[in-house]
Amino acid sequence: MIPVLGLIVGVVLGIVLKPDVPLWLQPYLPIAVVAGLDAVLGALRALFDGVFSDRVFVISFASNVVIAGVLVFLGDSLGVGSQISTGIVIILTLRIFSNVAAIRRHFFKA
Amino acid sequence: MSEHRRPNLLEELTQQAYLSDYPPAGERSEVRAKWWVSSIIVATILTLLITVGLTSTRTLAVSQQTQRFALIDRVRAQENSVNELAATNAADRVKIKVESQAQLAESQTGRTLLVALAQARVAAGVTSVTSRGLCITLGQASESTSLTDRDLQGVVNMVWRNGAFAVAINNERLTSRSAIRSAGGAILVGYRPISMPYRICAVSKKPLVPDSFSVLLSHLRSKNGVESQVVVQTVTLPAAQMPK
Repeated sequence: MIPVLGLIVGVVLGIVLKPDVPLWLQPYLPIAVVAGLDAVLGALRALFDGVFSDRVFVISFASNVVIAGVLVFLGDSLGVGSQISTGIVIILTLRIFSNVAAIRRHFFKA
Repeated sequence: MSEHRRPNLLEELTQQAYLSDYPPAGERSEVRAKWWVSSIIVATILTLLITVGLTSTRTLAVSQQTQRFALIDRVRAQENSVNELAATNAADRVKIKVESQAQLAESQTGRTLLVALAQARVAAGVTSVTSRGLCITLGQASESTSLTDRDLQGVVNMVWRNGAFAVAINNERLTSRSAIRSAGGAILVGYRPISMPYRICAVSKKPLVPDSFSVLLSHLRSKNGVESQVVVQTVTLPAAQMPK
């Protein structure tokens, strides 16, 4: 389980470096986390379905995070930031749920 | 091309959640030899994001808490200094009183002034008064008893009109500046809430006659269901509390 190494490195880096998140970036952080989770779970599902592609994985991760961030920024600029954030979180969590359901079906056949 | 019903948005979301990212199931999986490199990078970035998010939310909460405590400390300090100033003020007032009495007692005009000053102090509610007076107690007769600030004002005005020079409600001395008002269900006297039974005590030069209140009190009994009691006795009315 090589990617687990990455998980551990990420946690350690976050705790040791304690990067200061600028105030203007803080609204985008939770959206980025949810978008990243969505990409990772989508990759897991694709892995079990036998259609995983590392290229697609990296690109989808990056683009999901960036697009979610850009949408929230655009919403903030137009004065509907919280509404757009809510919309993005709903779509992404729906995807997360359906991906997790597929993974669960694969594991437990239920 | 065969006609397919286009799935609606929700169906699309739940059924094809990841199809926009990956080719449809059944197609060949293209995994390169070094797939783990990208996985490590993505996993690192993701957990870094999560950790940073968590720690920044925590530090924000901590800083807000610190600000809150700092504000509470400042409020407490200001309250203390206000209390100290009020105590100094009271001590100064006593000093002034003693000095002026000593000065005024030296001459005839001064002594006349002293008497007038003592009367003025009583009228202003600055000193406490102990004298023969009258107390009206308004109590609850039943569940439906209701007494408004207007009713209480009526009784107090009646007492003033009968020649009282000092009046207190539930030991709150009334001055020319105290108001009887209602705030919600409570009645405030000089901005301090008081509750049933209301005890209105008054002192006057001429003895107050209990009978002069009978009309008003029987009206209150029939209209509001208020039980009342009038007693002539020696009463002590405290000095009015000075506003801070």
